[in-house]
Amino acid sequence: MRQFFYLKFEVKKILFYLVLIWMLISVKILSQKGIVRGIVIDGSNHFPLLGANIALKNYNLFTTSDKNGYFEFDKLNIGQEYIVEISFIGYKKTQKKVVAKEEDKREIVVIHLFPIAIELSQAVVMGKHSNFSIKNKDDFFYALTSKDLSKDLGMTLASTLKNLASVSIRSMGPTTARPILRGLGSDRIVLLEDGLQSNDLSASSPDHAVSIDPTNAERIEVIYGPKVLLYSNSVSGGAINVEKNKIPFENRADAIWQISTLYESANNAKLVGGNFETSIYRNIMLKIDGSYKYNDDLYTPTKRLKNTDARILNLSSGGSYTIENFSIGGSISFIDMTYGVPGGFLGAHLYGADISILKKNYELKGIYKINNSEEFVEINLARTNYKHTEVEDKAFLGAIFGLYENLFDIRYTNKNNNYFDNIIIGAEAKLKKNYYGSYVYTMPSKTTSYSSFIFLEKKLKKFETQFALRGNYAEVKPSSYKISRIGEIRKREFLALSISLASQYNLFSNFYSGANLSLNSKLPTIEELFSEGPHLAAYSYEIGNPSLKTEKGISGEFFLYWLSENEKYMANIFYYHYNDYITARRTKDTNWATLLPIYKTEGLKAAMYGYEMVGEKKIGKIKASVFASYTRGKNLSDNLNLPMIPPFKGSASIEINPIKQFKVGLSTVVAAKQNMTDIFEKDTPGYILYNALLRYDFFIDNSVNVISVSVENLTNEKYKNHLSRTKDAFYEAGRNVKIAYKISL
Amino acid sequence: MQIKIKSELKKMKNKAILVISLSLILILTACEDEHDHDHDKNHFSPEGMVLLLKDTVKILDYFRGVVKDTLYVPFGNYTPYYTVKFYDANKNIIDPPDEANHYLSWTISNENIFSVEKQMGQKYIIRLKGNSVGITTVKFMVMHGSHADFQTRDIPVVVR
Repeated sequence: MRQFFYLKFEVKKILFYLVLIWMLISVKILSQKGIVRGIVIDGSNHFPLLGANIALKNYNLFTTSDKNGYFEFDKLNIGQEYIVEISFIGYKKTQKKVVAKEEDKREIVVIHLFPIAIELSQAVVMGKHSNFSIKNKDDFFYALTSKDLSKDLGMTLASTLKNLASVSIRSMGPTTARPILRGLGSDRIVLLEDGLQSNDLSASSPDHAVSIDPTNAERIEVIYGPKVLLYSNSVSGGAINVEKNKIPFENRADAIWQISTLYESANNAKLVGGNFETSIYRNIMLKIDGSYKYNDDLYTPTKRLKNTDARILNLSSGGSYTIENFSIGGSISFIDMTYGVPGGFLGAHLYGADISILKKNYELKGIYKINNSEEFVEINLARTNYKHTEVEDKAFLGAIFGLYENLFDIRYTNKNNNYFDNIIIGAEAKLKKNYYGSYVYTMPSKTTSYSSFIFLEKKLKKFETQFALRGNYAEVKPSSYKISRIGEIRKREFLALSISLASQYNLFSNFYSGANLSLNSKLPTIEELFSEGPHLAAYSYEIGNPSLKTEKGISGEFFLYWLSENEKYMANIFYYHYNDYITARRTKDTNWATLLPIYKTEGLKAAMYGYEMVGEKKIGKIKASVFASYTRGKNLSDNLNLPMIPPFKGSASIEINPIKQFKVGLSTVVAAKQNMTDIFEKDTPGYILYNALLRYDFFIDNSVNVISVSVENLTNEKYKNHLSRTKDAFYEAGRNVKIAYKISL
Repeated sequence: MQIKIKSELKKMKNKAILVISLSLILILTACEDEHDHDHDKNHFSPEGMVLLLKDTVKILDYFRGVVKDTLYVPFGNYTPYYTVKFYDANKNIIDPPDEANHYLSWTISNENIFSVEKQMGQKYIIRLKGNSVGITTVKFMVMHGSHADFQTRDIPVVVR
């Protein structure tokens, strides 16, 4: 009996547990709902899209994507198919069928949105830009975005920027092109790669090429005003920043491939470049980019410009790792360039000179976010090894120029504080060693330099102000001391202080007016101080001045601009005044041992003034653009003109979108005669060039494709660039057909 | 609270050690090809050149880019030996440099027309040989290692 009761109890117990399990399962099943998770990505650059509208079609459910592009719909029926519709202004509306999964399944749907045309309307672009209209002004008038670069990419940085109003090109053959801003060159124009100064010797001589390859640039901006002081003391000149993101910190939602190709007929140039970027476990980012260019000699309208061929290989790899608020990354890159400088004219070698450049760059960067992404500390360590050799007449090693530089840079940024909208405070230490070999007499030297800077930004209703200050101490120490023909070669110490203030006021609607006042300084370079001998590839005998002082100047700029969805207009006038403006002037003398003309570095009292005007208007499918720029340079010490000042330059263009994603355009470029020249400098005649453009943007699956065909110098005009050192003997490029193709996956 | 601060400081310390270690690796690996380059100062910078027959008769007079003479060479035969001297800035005749890495060199536009030979054991005594009748040019240089310290303009040469 006892056993029976025991058995009965056990059965009840088992039944109780079975019921309990069944109930639990039922509750679990009944409580479990399906979920759809997704990420919305800009298909053109693979960055997550913030604020995309996502709807579950036929269910009246809506949400928007967060800053990571993430969205989710919950409480759906598991296993049921839904249609997700994603829309975002400026992008093609997309629908995707998805199946609701169980909540604990980590499936995420990736949805790519593609721009309606790669050239977005200005309204869309403005939506992505800063609240600061000073920054928007810089973006609209002085920057090339990735969409511009797919059309304007050239073989060099300077040729890529040539359609910006204030940019001229100094050159000695096509590969040596270096940008000049408002007539200012040398190291007054700081070239930056991802915000760090690119160390090469392109500022010191016209035959030295710029060692930045623009092929894989995501954006290139020309920086004027207070922001320049974050990078250099030379606020009057400006800075050009090439954003390549060699160290990838921004977390792309998925892997990205980009491949660019370019062909130019004038010198049979072929370029292929590409980059690959991906994330591993969402906190490790990797990036590889590279390019290879090859070109034959350049054809001018009259003849082949011998010894202007070039080969350039550029490779870079970078990675980053993020742990909570701290990110660390590094990159290794090198550029290997071989190019020719033309010869065969008076004062030059018969066969020109052959130049090889090898630059290796190592960078390490750490970012510590203090509270959020608005407040952080950034540390940069960089090391550059640069070597440059020049061979004369295909046989003799004429010159070796070398440079080692170590950089330590720390900066604190706070965009979210009670007093200012943006504060950047930083310090920089540099150790640079210049060495020379073969037939170069310049004294090898070490330069130690320390800088500190502050940048402030404030917006008060319609009034915006930027202020920056930078102090710099530098010691230049030659390897030996001597009394030379050019003076006493000795240790020099320099102190420089630069201050810049820019303010603007929103007069009404989209119309702004503002001014920029700066006190600027520039330290003399080693070459400007200690050069004493022939520079064979530059066809000049260079004499430095060991007693040069810090170049000091004041500059002012007044501007007006209008920015709206379909119109942008800007006009400015600027005036720069210098004491001890450092420049190499051609003298009447020749060095008879080498038969080279003598250029002597001097510090002059000088003034430069001019204007820039830019206008663009869109009416329906037609866009018309114009720009004009002019600079006048005066040597006040001798009441003469300054050397190497570009003439008036203007451009007018019209672009039509006859059908969606297809664009045709015509443009003309005008340069006036330059007869405001220094003594021993020759006048250059003016010219008019005509160009044509066809462009087609299209999408295949998840890829964005851009093809552009342009013809430069349609009429094969014979013209000369006033800033070319070979202009006495050669014309610039003849008719040039450019074909470019870019694909982003 | 104190424990939290200590833990944060420890985390930051670890991160700092990581940054410094990586920086050192970067700098050390980057330094490997750094070396000093000697700066050779013994360049020879005359302003002209002269070819002398028997150390007295000027066969060629070249000063500050101006070529006053044409070199005449007998066809199928040698000229006498000429001594090469140089002019300083005041047009005083000076001797060539005697350092081992300085030597006389030349480039001839058309080597089928004539050739240049040095006297055995002499760096600055030369003679010319006419190979075929014609006109060409020669450019003389004083080499200093692999580069030219001095060079003339093209000097006309006639073989007859």
